[in-house]
Amino acid sequence: MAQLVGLSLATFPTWIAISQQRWAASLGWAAVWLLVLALTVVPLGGRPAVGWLAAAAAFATAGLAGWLTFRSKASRGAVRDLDAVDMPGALAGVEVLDGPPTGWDQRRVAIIKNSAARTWAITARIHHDGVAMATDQTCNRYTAGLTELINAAARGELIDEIHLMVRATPDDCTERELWLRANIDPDAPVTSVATQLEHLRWSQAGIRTDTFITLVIPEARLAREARHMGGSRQGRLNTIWSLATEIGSILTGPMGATTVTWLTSPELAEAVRLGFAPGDRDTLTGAAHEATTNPDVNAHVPWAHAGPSYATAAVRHYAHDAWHTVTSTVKLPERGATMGIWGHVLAPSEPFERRCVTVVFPIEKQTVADRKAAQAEFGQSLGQGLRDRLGVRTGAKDVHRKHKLDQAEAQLAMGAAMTHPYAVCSTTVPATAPIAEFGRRLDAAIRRGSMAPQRLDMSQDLAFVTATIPLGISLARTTR
Amino acid sequence: MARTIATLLSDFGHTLPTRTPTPKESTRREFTTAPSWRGRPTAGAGWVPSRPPVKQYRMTSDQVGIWWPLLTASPLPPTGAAMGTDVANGTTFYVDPHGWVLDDTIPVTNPNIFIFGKPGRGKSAWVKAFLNRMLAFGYQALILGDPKDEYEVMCRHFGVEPWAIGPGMPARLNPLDPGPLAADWDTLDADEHRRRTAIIFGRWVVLLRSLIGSQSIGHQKVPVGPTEEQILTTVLKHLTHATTDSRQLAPIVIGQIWHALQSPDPTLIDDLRYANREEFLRDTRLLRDAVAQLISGAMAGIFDAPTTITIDWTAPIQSLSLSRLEPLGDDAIGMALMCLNSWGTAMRQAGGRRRINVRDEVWRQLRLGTSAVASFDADLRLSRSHGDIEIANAHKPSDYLGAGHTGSQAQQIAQDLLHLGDIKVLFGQDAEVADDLEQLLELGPIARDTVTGWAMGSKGRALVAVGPRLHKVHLTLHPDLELPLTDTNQAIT
Repeated sequence: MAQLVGLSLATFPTWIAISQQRWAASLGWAAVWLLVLALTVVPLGGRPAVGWLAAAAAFATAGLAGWLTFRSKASRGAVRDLDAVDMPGALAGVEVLDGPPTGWDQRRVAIIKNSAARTWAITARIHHDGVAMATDQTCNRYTAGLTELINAAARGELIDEIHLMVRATPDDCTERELWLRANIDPDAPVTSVATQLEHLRWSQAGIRTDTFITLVIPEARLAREARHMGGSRQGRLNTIWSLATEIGSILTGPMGATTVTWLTSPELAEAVRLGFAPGDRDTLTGAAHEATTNPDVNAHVPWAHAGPSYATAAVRHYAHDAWHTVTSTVKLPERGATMGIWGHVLAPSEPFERRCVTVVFPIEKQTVADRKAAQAEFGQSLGQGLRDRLGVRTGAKDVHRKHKLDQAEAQLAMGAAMTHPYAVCSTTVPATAPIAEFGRRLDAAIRRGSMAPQRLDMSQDLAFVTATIPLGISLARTTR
Repeated sequence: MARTIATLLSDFGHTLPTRTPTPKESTRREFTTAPSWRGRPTAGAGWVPSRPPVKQYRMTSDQVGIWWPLLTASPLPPTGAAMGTDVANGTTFYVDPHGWVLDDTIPVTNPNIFIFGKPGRGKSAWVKAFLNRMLAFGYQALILGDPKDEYEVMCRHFGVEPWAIGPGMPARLNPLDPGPLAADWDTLDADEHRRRTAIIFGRWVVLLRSLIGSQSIGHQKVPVGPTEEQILTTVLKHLTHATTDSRQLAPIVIGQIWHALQSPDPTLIDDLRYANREEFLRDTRLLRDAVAQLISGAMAGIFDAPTTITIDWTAPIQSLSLSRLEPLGDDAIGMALMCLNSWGTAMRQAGGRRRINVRDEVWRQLRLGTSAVASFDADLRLSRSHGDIEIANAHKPSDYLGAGHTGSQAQQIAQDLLHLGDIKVLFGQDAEVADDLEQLLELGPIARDTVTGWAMGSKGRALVAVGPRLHKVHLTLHPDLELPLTDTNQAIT
C-alpha cells in the first residue's frame, strides 16, 4: 500500500509539468517516475530496491540501538519463571501450553500459542523410511499421500499452514556409547572391545536425521470451531488434538510414516534447544539415561533455557550461542523438478555441520482459492483477447502460462486445494568454523539439486527460526 | 433414584478414587496481548528488522510432490555391531538381529541372516567382521564347517585352535554324542530324564534320517518313512538303555546302530512287532545298507567313533575345518556339514551364552535331499526360541533351488527357507543373477539395480535388507584390528 501511495505521489511532478505545458520537463519527470517504478517493483534478490533500502535502514537502526542482539534472562540472572518461554524476536510472543491428556499413556501434548501471529500450533516427530530406496510406484504413492495431507487440511478449513522440517545433525553417538557401556561383556576378547571403541570414534562422522511436522491453526478459524468442543481454552486444545489425530492417520497411512509422536512440552523444549544448540544433544541424552536410575537427575530443558543465551543477527548469517547459521530460500527450476531434490541439501559437507530443510505449505481456503483462480484466468483471458485483437503473436511462454492456469482451475474444480509452498534451507556450524564458506557450500548444494539459492540477507534471524525451530513460525503470513 | 456406581461399590467395601475438583478455568479471552511479529524493540531482545523475502510458488495440491522432504530413512537404533556406513544418509549402520526381533518398530521377526554374493565381493569379510564385533557383547561364534579353512586365522587370534577333520586325521566327532544334556544323568528325576531323552532322541533321529535319506539308489534317494523312523528310535532306546537304566545315558556311535540292525536282539524284534528275525532282516535291508555306507564309505573313521576332542564351552569362537574332506567330493562335505549341524545343536543345548552359527557354502548341505533341507529348515525356524543367530552363506539365491529337482519337496522347502531369513545381505552379482533376486527374494527392481550396479563398484558394498527395508551399506574394516583377521586373499598374495 505504501508503495502504491509512493508511486502515485511520484507521478505528481509529471502532472505538474504537463499542466504547465513544459513538455521537455514532463518527459524527464516521466523517465524519473519509470526509474522509481522499477526500483519499487522489480525484485533483486527477492526484494525491490526500495525494500532493500527499508530493510537496511531498519537493520542499521536496530544494530545501532542494540536491538538485534538477544540476551536471555538466564544469562543475565533474571529468570523468575522457569516455564516461561524466553526466546528472541519472532519467538517472543510464543507460549507453550499442555494439551488434554490423551491415549493410553495419558500424554499431554504441547500446544504452541503464538500471540504475535494469533495462531496455535502442534508439533510431532516423524519416523519415515524415506524414498532413497523406494520404487517409482512407492514414490508415487507417497506423492499422492502428501497431496492427500494438503487436501485434508484444506477440507477441514482449520489448518492454514503445515511445516515439514528435516534436520540432518552430526551424530554424537551418545546412545551408542551408553549402549556399549551397558552391553560390553567383561570377558570379551580385547580385539573385539577395541574395535567397538574405534568404531565409536568413526561413527561420529555420521549423521542422524530428525523430522518434524507442525500444524498451524489461526485463532480466527479455531475460535468458532472450538465452541463445539467445549469452548474456551479447553475447547481449543481439544479441537487441535482432534486435528492432530486426523492428520496423524494420514501421515502413518498414505504418507508411509512408521511412527508419529506428538511432542509433549519437555520434548518440544528439547527439540527447540537442539535447534539452537545441536551440540547439547549428548548432555541431554546422557542426562535422560541417568534419570532412569537416579531420580535426582533433571533431564528436562526448562523453557526459560530452551532458547539461546546470546544471539545476534549479522547481515548474512545468524549467531546463536556457540553456533552460526546461514539460511537460504530456493527457486525451483523453470523446467520443473523431481522428487528428491533435497538430497544434496541434506548432506552435510563436514562432520560437524548440521543441515536443515523446512518446507512450508500455506493453504488457502477453498473459496479464496477459487476466486483467485478465476481472477487469474480472467486476467489471462483478457490479456489474450487484447493480444489477439492487436494481432500480437502469442509466445510459447504465454501458452504455457495459460495451460497452467487452466490446469489449476480444473484441479480446483475437482476438489484439489490451493497452496503456495516455500522452502528454507540452513546450515549450522560451530562459531569457530568459517560461516561464509559454509554458506557458499549450502548454495552449491542447492544448485546441485538443480535449484537456485537466495540468501535471506538482513533477515537471517527470522529465517533461522522458520528453518530450524519447529514452532510453526511462518514467513508467509502477512497479517500483523 | 438409582444408586450410583460409587455407592454400589461402597456397599461391598470398595471405594472408587475420587478426582480432585479442578479449579475453574478463567474464561478470559485468548490473545489479549498482541506483541509484534518482530519482538520487542529494546536492547537485548533480538528485534527482527525485516521479513525474509522468501520465494513462494502458487500451485494446486496435486503438484506438491516435488516438495517431498522425507528422503532418508530414520536411523535404526545404535545397538549391535556397527557394520559400516549407510551411504543413502551417511549414518552408521548397526546390525543387531536379536535387538531387531525384540523391537516392534523394525520389521524383523527372526534373527537369521542370509548372505549372497559373487565370490570375492566381501561375504567372508562381512561375516568375520560381524563375529568380531558381536563377540564384544558376550556372543560365541560357532563355524559349522569351514570348507576353505578361512576362519583359522581368526580362531588362532582368539587363542582357539580349530579342529580339522578328514580321512586319516586324529580328531573324531560323534554326532550322536548326547552332549551337555547328559551331564549328571544319575541325579535327575524320571520326568527330567523323559524330557531330556525326548530332546536328544529328536536330534539324533533328525540326523539319522538326513544321513540315510541323503544316499541315492540310482536317481532316487533312500526313502525314510515312519517305519524306518520307528526302527531307528527303538534301536537308539535299546542301545542307550534310556528306559531301563537311570544311572547314565550310554554314549553311542553310528557303528553300534549298524550292529544292532545287523544282529538284532530278540527284544528289539518283539518291540518292533516283527514275526521273526528273518522278516526283520528282509524288511530292513535297505536301511542296514544305508547305515553301513556311513561307516564304511568316504566318511569312515570321521564321525563313527566317540568324540576325541575336548570342547571348551567358554571359548569365544570354535571352528571345524573341512578342507581335508574336499577330495572326497561335495557329498562328503555335505554329510559332514549335516553331522556338524547336529553337533552344533548339542552345543546349543549347553545353554549359557548366545551363539552365532555360521554355515559357509550352505548349498552343499541342501543338495543332500529333503531330510537335509528339513533339518536346516528346523534350525532356522527354531532360532527365535533357542536364541541363536544363524548365518547362511551362499553365492546366489538360486543355490537354494539346487536342493532337488524342479517342483520337488526339497526344492519347495529350500525356496521357502529364503523367507525364514528376514535379514539379507546382498553383495555384488552379475546381471544373470538379477532375475533370481527379483523372483526368489521378491526385493524388486531397486534391489536388482543396486546389487548388479552399485554393489559391484567396490568390495564390501552390500545391500542389506532388514525385512522389506533396504539399506546400501559399505563395510568399514579397521586396518590394524580387523583387516588382518578378515583378509581372505592370503593364499593369493
